[in-house]
Amino acid sequence: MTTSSSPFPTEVAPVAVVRSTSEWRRAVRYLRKDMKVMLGCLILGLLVVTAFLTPLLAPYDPNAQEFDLLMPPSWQHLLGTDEFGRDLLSRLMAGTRVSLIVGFSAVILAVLASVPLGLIAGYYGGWVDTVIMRYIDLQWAFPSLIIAVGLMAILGPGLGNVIIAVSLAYIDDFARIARGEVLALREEEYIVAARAAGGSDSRIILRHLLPNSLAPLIVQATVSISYAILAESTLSFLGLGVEITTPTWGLILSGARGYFTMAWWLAIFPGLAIMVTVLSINFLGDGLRDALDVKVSRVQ
Amino acid sequence: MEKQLGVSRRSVLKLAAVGSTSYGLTRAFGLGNPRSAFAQGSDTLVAGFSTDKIERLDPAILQGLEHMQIGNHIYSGLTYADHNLEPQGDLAESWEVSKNGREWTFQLRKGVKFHDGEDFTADDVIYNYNRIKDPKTGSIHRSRLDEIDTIEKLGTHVVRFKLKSSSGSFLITLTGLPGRALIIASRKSLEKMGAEQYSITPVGTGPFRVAEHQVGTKFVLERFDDYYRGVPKLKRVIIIPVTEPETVVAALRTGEIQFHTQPPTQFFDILQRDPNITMMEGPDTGFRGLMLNQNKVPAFKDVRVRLAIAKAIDRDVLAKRAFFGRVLPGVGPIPAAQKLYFREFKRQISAQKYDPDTAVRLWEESGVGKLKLKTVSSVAAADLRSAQVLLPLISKVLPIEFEIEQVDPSVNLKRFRTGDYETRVGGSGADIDPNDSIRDFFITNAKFNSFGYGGNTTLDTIVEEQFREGNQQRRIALVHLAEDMVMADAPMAFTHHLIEYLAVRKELKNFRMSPTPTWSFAQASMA
Amino acid sequence: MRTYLLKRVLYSLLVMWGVATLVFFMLRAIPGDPVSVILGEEATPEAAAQLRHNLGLDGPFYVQYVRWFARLLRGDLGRSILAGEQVTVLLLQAAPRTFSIAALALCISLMLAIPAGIISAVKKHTFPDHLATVIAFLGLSMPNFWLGIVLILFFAVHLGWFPALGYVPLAEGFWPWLQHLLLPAFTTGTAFAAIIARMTRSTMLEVLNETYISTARSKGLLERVVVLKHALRNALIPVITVIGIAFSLLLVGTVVVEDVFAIQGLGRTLVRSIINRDFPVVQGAILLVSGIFVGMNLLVDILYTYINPKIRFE
Repeated sequence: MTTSSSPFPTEVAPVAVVRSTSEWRRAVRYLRKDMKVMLGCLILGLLVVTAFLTPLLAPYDPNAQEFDLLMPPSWQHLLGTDEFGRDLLSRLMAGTRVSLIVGFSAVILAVLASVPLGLIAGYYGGWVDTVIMRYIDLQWAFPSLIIAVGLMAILGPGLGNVIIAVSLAYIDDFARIARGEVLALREEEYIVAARAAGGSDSRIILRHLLPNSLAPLIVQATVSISYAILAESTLSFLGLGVEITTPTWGLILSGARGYFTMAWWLAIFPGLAIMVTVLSINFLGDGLRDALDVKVSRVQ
Repeated sequence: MEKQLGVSRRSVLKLAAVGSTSYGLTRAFGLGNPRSAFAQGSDTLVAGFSTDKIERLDPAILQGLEHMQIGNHIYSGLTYADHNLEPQGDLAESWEVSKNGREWTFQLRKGVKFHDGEDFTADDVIYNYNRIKDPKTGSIHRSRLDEIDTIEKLGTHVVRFKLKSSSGSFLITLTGLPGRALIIASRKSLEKMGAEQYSITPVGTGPFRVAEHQVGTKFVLERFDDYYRGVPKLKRVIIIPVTEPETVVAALRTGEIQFHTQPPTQFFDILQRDPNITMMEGPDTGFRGLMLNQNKVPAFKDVRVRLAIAKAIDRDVLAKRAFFGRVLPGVGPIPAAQKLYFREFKRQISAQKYDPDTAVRLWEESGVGKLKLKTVSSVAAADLRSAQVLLPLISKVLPIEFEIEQVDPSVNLKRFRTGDYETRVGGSGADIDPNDSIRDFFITNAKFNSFGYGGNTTLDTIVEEQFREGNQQRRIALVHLAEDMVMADAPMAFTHHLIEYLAVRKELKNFRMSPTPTWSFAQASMA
Repeated sequence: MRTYLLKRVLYSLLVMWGVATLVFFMLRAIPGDPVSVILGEEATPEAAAQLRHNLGLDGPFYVQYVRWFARLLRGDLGRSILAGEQVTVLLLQAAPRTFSIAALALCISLMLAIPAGIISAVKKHTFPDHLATVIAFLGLSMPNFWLGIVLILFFAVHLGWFPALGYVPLAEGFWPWLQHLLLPAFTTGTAFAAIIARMTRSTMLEVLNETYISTARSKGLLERVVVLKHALRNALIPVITVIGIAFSLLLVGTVVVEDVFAIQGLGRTLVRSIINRDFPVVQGAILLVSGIFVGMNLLVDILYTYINPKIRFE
């Protein structure tokens, strides 16, 4: 599994071609025609609904240890029971909420933290750029999972801590992309004109550079959500993620270790849940990439 | 336009060439089924231990069941504990006790050799005593030697200990394992290798010597031909770490290992049904339960609150759901292995017996209302599982909301020692004497008493008395009294005793089960 | 070119040093005490203090740091706090396992992915292409530890074709070594294979549309020759750069795989040492891992400037 959001280094500016409302609208129309994207949206929609309505939809209390241990799927328990006698289906449904929360929160946090850095680095250049990019390089030079493990060792288990660790360790490409966009756009006419007209730096960054950099950032964000979900499940699986009482799919898998050979349903279904969720987001992201015609140049 | 990508004859030939080369290579290196990575002779035992790796084996800091078990094959003490946990002479052939019970003179065995060829003499006893007592060694067993006033050498093979007071358990203290305080280590090797290397490849007087230690991969013991109590029939014992439950089962069934120290309880039935595997069962040597820290939770100062919690636990359900029925429900600290002191009927008479109605009544009487409690648990699977089943069981009866704090080993033990927890899943192990079970935990300022229990002077007095009591019968009576008081006072809610299981394949013969850490491969042989 | 190289090497060393130093101080700043792990429940405060002193863990951090760094310059990585064994020995035992998995994973994924990518590109929008795309997506979407578990359940437990866990050193036989590694390697390489397949496909598509390809076609060359000789060579250039970093990426993927398959490799050693606060092992392993990462990056940079004359003279 790859560790950073994009599998290859992106040093040179992505070429973003969405600059006006009509182009956005064209993109949306393109999206609607893409079957992959529609499927992804559908699945994601179902998941969100499940996440919000778990108390209503779940057949049993996810935490109730009332049933026989390790029962195979049956009409009473569609996905069987786990190693504590809890209904697996209910637990997986409860896990939907946490997984989605982690995915979205981690990405939002990462975006808030790193996009400004990238914008500033690209805009000001000079030593500011060097310092920021050196740090980004430093982090990129290091396996994300190890960083995340280290962070979790410091912070201790917990949902909030996982979000922080995942966003810091895994999602380091926003800065790079933002910076790349700025570099590409910096010499464009309207930017030069704005500066000549005496516009303040922050105004230029916020009103001109940022909106025009959105396309690749959106694509990256979508893909990052799926990586965040995978990262959380990996950390929880290793025992370094959420607390033991928070049901997330990775943790459910982790808890069932040692029982897989006698309870295959505990091995298959939680992983399937992760896969389906990540798949739908990947479909969405891929479709977005095509629609927004974002090409990432591979020249280094 | 031509669109097919055909496979030409040439490419097929190329592929075939590659294929046959690799086949040839395979033959050259030897192909076969996935067999055991370790050579198997008919006198070599491959034993799986349930630990990630074997760590420091320096007697000064030797601890942990798996390590102690290994130590039992390498080291000896002046005495050893037999399968009834009664002390017998080991490096000491015989001894005399003075009338006041304070002077113990030991005649040491002659002709004993260390694995490095040195002879064992009284000097070695003195050396090891001084080493453990020396603060610079930093030994965790130092306090066990507190009862000794002086030690003197009376001859090349005679030593005399003068104790500060008479003792009912001095001989137990002198056992190699689990006593550990006076394991006889080789001075020559310690000085030559240094303590760190010695920790990895220790040298003792036991039935096996260390042939090889690849930390994390394998630990190889070899028979010691000069062992004084009978040279082992096994030539080699290869100890490998096997922790994953499914691997343990797979390795046992295929015969890759012929022995395992902790077969997983969820696979018990499967293993037992296998005709090649015997599950040996033995009485445990510890207790486990929920510690209630009075220093952090003022409500716990009220004995009614503590007792209510203890009475709210349905131990049969706990045993069944958390441990697949493979533990002994327990209500007090004395484990079944301490045969002289354990009472089968304890469950009926204990104040901690499951009684939800009384629990609720006591709780209401105390007026403590709703409680939110944090429970510290190590990340060990057994502890976590125990906590996850136990706490909801309590919450069903009493208005308590528990939150499990899982902590890494590096933090867990520190928090235990400093009393930084509200409640805690924990207990004791390798207790072969009531002192280990009661005196170390439940008297005021006891060694492990970080949960603020104390001030019960009657209990303290009785425990001190049994400590000094030389007469067996009187001591038993005192211990029973002490245990009753501990149960009624509920410094912690006892939940269960672990039953020890060892998985033994039929190829391993003449192996006798004995409470950990006293079992040994010294008498065993391979079919 | 040479100054560029020198700069990059120096910079890499700086990065490694930076990471190692950061880790050193962070380890000591976080709660958790390796000494209590060694001494266990029976630890006494005096024994703990003494052991800490004997291991050089007391005293101000910068003193400890200087001591460690001085030893490092002599090539001594110290000894594991928990096991007492030398860190270099432990790492030398662990590294070949991780490398074996990563190398095998690389081979397997390339053998599967590049042909898949080529076929996908050549037969664009037909069934093989769609199938390959779906499989690639699945490969990217599933958690690798889950794949490992599923593979174990099916191939090892159910079919019995492979051992479920463990590792056999190459010295003890090629076939047992391979058998123990196939499932872990496959698990590690899957996501990577998916990426390579997708990349190969898209670069091939780009290249196939280039003018020199139509020139070659119009010259009447066989389609196969066009594809394999001209298009592939150019399409593979970006793929090669990715492969360079791939090794480092795969190395990290093995962290979880080692956990699932109970193989004591670098990843597992590192994670366990962090949990147990075994400082010297963590520091040594971090140095090794960051060294590999940084080294691989450097190698790729050099390789790339070599292959692509366009940027050689930057």
